[in-house]
Amino acid sequence: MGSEIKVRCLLCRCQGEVDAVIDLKAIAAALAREPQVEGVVVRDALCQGQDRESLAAGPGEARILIGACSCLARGDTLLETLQASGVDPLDVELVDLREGCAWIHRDDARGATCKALDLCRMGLAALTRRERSQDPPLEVSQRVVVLGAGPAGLAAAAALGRLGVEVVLLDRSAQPGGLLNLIAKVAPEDIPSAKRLAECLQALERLSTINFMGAARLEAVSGEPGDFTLEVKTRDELHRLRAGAVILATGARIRLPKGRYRYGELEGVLAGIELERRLQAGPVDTQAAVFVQCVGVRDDKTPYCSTICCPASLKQARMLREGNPDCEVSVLHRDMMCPGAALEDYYHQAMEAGVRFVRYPSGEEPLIEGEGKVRAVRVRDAAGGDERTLTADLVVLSSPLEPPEDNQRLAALFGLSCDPLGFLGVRTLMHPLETTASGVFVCGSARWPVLASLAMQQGEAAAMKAYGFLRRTGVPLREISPFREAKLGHATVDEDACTGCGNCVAACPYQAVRLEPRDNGGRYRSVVSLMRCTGCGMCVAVCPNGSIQLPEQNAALIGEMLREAFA
Amino acid sequence: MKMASEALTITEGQVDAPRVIVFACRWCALIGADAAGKQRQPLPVNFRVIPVECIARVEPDAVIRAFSQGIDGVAVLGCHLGGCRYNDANHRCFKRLELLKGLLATVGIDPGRLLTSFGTGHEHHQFVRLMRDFMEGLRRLPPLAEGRPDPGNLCSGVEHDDA
Repeated sequence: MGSEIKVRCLLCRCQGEVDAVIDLKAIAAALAREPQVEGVVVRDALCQGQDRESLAAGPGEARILIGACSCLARGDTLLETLQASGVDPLDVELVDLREGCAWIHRDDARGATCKALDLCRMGLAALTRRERSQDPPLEVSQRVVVLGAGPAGLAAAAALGRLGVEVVLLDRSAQPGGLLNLIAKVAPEDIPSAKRLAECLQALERLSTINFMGAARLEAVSGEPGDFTLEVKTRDELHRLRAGAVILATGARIRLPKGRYRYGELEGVLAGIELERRLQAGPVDTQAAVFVQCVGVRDDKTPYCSTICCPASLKQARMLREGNPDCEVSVLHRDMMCPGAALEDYYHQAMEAGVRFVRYPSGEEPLIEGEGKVRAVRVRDAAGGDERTLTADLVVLSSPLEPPEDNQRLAALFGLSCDPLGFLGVRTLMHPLETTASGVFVCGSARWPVLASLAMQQGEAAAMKAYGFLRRTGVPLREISPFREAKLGHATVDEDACTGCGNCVAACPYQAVRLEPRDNGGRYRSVVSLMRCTGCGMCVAVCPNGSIQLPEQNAALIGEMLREAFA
Repeated sequence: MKMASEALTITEGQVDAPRVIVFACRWCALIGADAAGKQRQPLPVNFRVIPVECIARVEPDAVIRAFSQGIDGVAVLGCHLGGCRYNDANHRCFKRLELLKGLLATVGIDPGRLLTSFGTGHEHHQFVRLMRDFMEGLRRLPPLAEGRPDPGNLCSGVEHDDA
């Protein structure tokens, strides 16, 4: 195998940096003796001037081995130059002779030369053994389905609509708006939420490519990224929607403080969201209101901060003070969570508006007093340690957001997983809006509780990600990866050898492998979704008979490199 | 070739033990190895790096094959657990290689010859320290093939005559 493959070797002196240690002439001589090597050239600096121009001489028949600096130094530049002149990067192997050899073995010239030769031979082995993944042409359906018509979904749909992309916007309820429908004002901008919602809906009406589908439920997902088919049930019928990309903007659910702080038992004890509804209607009459923060969050069972409840309570507290400047408003909190300049300012505005803040210790929840109707709240002040009794005719229990119970089902439909708290699991490390499935994006409170303005920002960002994904029609499949860089290749199954054990299916971190029955029945074989595969090679490592491979870095290639490593 | 005549002869197959293969994740340990080069940190010459997309690509077979060719140590260097570019691939790889260490012990290969390290090689000094410590540890072990038949038979599935 590989006997007809010819290799041209280019060795770079790096202006003396490499050959100060490594004897490049000896390497060149030794390489020239290798049967597959067609010619060896030593250059002064491949990345500069004439030598670089000589690189761009155009593609030849031979594959190219470059012994120079590492691909993280200037190696990438060399690759780009070659690529620009029509050479497939897979036909090029970069051998790191500077960072990986000359510079770290300066005190052992002989050893370094031996190592450099070994590295070059490993590179030759890689070049000769490298195969190519299949790369069928890809058609991306030019439609985006946005699930959820809250602020995130509305912003995403509008952003895509402005670009002329066809969008289907689905929502569980008949009316768009999500939680914007339930609140009075948007914090911290203090814009009436009805106004914000009207702006969003106006944009939708103006843009003819957006279709809203209310009272819809996603039943099933099939197909591949780039060409999903979504089965959506509305009240009367079942729709089959094709989509190139999907944006999940399904939001979060408000948690009511059932069973806490005598909620539902005493008159005057309200959940934050209930106060919102009253404030929507007009000023709320109260003489002394007490807000309690961190209701059912940041404890052992729900160990996260829902982030929206502090700004929401600040907003409501100020609205109460504005409605009745004589009323006493206190906020009992464990920590006021107001990060960023805007929210910090919002907190100061509330203090200036006369809202009092009392910090209570996390182990000691305030006690609600009263019979039939709330009378007072007893709280230990964490600052002074003394116990205070605040008279109150209204107690507001802040309303945190929690993941909707449908999240697990939704995630499973797309082959995703939820995070341990139940929000849609996203790799926030480097890909804040992407999911582990290509073409599926997440924004807004579905991924983590956020305020409306941030949800809208995320919606627009997700729209741009989805737009970029749609524009990939005609792009080689290798270029399509959840990451910025192209992937090395895709896993490829030798159908005859595959025994259908399913190890790869269980191991794949991206749910890119599935088992399909063979024609003759009874037996199975693995099938790789090329769109989902990221080319990590996990399946290769667990395959008991090597029938699944990364052609670009197959087992034979690794074996050959190992053989050459200390030849 | 013109230069062949004046070339120094490179004596082959004479690399001192311990000979080490490093499988380096290109998103993490390879960056550390590269940074060590940029910093010109002196390192013993007898290791070879094979870059892989993800450390999960390294099949146990490749590790065993390396030992069967008389390589003294294999280092598998990946990203932080929980910080893998490929979801949880490195975590699964970690578990797999832990199992492999147990198997190595049963065939008489000291599990210390297989170094697995996650998220500890992406800075130049970390990479250098890992390499030096690993090679130092290998030097203290008895030679790989001592007292045992040809290690080439360890992994080849084919039968060999004991005669």
